[in-house]
Amino acid sequence: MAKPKLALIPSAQGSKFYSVLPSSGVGDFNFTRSGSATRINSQGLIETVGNGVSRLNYPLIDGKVAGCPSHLLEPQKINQLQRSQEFSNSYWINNGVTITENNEISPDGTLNADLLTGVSGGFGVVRFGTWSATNKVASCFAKKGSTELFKIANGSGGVGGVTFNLENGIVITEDSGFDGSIENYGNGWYRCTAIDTLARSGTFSLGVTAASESVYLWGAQLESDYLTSYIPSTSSAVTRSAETANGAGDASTFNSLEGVLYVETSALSNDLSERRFGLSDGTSSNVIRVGYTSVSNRIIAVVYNGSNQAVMTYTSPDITQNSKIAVKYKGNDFALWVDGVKRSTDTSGSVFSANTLNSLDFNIGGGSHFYSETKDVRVYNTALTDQELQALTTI
Amino acid sequence: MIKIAKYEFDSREQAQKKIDALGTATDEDGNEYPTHKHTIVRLGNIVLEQAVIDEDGEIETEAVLSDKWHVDVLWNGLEADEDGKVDHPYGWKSKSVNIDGDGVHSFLGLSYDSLKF
Repeated sequence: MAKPKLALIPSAQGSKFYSVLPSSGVGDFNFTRSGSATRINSQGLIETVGNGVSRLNYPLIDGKVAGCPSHLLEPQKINQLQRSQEFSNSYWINNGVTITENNEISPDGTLNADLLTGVSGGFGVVRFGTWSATNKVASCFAKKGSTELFKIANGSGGVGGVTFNLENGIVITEDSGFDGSIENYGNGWYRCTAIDTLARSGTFSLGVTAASESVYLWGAQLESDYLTSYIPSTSSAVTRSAETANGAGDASTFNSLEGVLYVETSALSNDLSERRFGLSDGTSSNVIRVGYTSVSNRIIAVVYNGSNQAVMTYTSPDITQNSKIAVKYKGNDFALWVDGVKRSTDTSGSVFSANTLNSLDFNIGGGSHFYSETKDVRVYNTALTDQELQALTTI
Repeated sequence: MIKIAKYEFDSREQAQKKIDALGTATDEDGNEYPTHKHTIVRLGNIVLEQAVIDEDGEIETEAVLSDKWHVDVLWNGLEADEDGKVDHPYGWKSKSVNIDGDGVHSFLGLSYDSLKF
């Protein structure tokens, strides 16, 4: 198989996404984020990354780091909850529990997780007026104490919530209108998430389901749209700024006449937003892009040079799972490959004039940022064969 | 250069007009998107005094909301003038407020007191 002209394999953090090819550095993406963010580091711990520094995020399987890291690119989000790790603070209204501070090693590896023990009443801590039509995604890290049962709820009259099992790592019950999920962070910790799909207003509530039972808590978060990386807060709601990674390559890097654009990636959510990654001339006039659309789990590839030359789609089982996507472009010869299979072709259409394509970006078309976890990016300057594309994209 | 500022507008519409003036464009699908690189956080009518709740969970005293529409901005890439000073973009300064500490909102890893104008 031909050698890629540009190759990005996430291996370092900094002010760029550093491409291994070309070695000159011209293939690096310029990364931006004002302020800090958190990631899962190589030990599987949650770690804060400094102002303007990109994130290598390690995957967890059954609570342990498994495999190579990805570059995490997230939108602007705000954790509406204050005191996200301080459940004894007066910000939280104590509803029949005792809180023992700093009683367990938390997912960031330090002794700063609290123990919540039910005494009487509602068996939890609450915060009024927090759930809303916008802020409907609630999450908290929890670990089994005396009980494996833990609940995140909208405590306003009869709305309900989600109950989790912290022994088996499963969702036990989802009340009407709620979607629950649970992710193993290791050492007994789970990130539990409850989404109110009906977007009802009300009282954020965390707790156990019976008196005298206890669980460990750390890192509560309430945000919009979908779950993102943890945003720690103290005395105020906290915003993590949006991230960008753009401007890799130049006209000499790419072949505008034929080639393959390849990316191994997963979407952060199947939220039906437009997300576009690809090659262009720095405008939206000449573009080869892949991405996600307003159709559920739809992967799309488009070649556009003033008009659409090829539009190829594939509906994935789940775009939030890792996929290997390749687009072959050449005059009258276009193909979309996903996970080892040729999903769509187009045998009619033109490409670009020589030296047109000069930039590879995680944002094509202005507002369609390709928020994702990306493990591999490559651009080949020849149209690979079907056998090569099958080998390249097979999971 | 990064700066953080807090603003009070008379209404959501007044704030949105100012935000739009920072720059927008429209993609080929007709979707409008910002062309600037600042982080805008629309806080709205923030809570000035929390509601008082009795032990049965009933509201004894309603929360007091600000009658102003609040916006926090993390300005990114503002240029200094010839004296090396950086100021609010045109038209924003008159709506700015100066507080001690972060108030009800902050940006992760950045200090308002250190980065305010």
